[in-house]
Amino acid sequence: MRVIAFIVAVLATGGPAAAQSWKEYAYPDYAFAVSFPANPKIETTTYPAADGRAVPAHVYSVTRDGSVFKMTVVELPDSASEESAVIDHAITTLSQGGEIKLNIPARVSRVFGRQLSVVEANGSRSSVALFYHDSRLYQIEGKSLPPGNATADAIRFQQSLMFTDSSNGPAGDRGPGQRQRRERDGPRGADTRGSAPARDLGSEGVETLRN
Amino acid sequence: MRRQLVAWTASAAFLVSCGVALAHHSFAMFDADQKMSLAGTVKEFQWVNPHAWIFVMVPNRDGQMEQWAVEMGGPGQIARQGWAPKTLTPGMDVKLVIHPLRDGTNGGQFMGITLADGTQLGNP
Repeated sequence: MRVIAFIVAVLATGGPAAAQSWKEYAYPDYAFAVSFPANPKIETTTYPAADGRAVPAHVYSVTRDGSVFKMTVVELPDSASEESAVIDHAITTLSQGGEIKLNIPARVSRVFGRQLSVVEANGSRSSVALFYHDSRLYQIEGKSLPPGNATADAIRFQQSLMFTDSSNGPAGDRGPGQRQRRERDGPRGADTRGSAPARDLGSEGVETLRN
Repeated sequence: MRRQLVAWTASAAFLVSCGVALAHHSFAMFDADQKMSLAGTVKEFQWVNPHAWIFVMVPNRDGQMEQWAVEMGGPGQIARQGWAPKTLTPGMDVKLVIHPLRDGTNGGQFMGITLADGTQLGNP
């Protein structure tokens, strides 16, 4: 029995999430969940599709501490929309006025897309991922605005995207036995805890090693 | 019967472990051919899904502190490697080894860590 108890205890530790102020927000109607550092502003707008149509888009965004965290879900119900055309058009739109520093394949669960790093003329840096899934374009963008350097938060945001539809399984690594709490358009699963101010270590703390 | 129950539970746990060990997303953004060492102070340890994060303040060449984000596995995965939500607390001095982000921004994939008391986790 102790073996069973140990296994259950180990697996159960993958349970409740905790973060200083970030919370996970689930949007089951659009089959995704993402973490924001504050309650996102939700807007419905239009998106210029590759064929020139203005299609509905849902934007979830937070602007905080020199960063913009934005998730855009574009409805593309027309089955004629080809994945490559949708993604390429989104990349072109995102890179206007900026330079793409990185453009690599990306994957979240079983959904494949592209991941970009874009530097704009004003010095802002964006970490972006694009996915075409179930006739929707999912575009997640964490942007660090100058003169700050909040790229760490931008990356943390961009990497938080989860697809929650049945074909991608349950969201996240929760382990068995945890109560699955799914709130519609609201936060879930996060605690808060404090942080300490950084202190000067006195010398450069970065070293590149040979692999 | 008891032996069967133990075997069944262990098998189920193994399968679950294999399942959750599959990465939630690709890690192509990190340069697996490079290793970087960071010496800094923990700002925050986020024990969150789909991946845990270590935020650490590291001095740059000018001596100014910069925040780095180090991505780990999921909470269930790293718990099985000896991690707990309180393994890192704000203010702890640590040395990290990461695979850096390909775009040169302040982030990377966790490889290993050495705590101030010499404790090592991962592959530092």
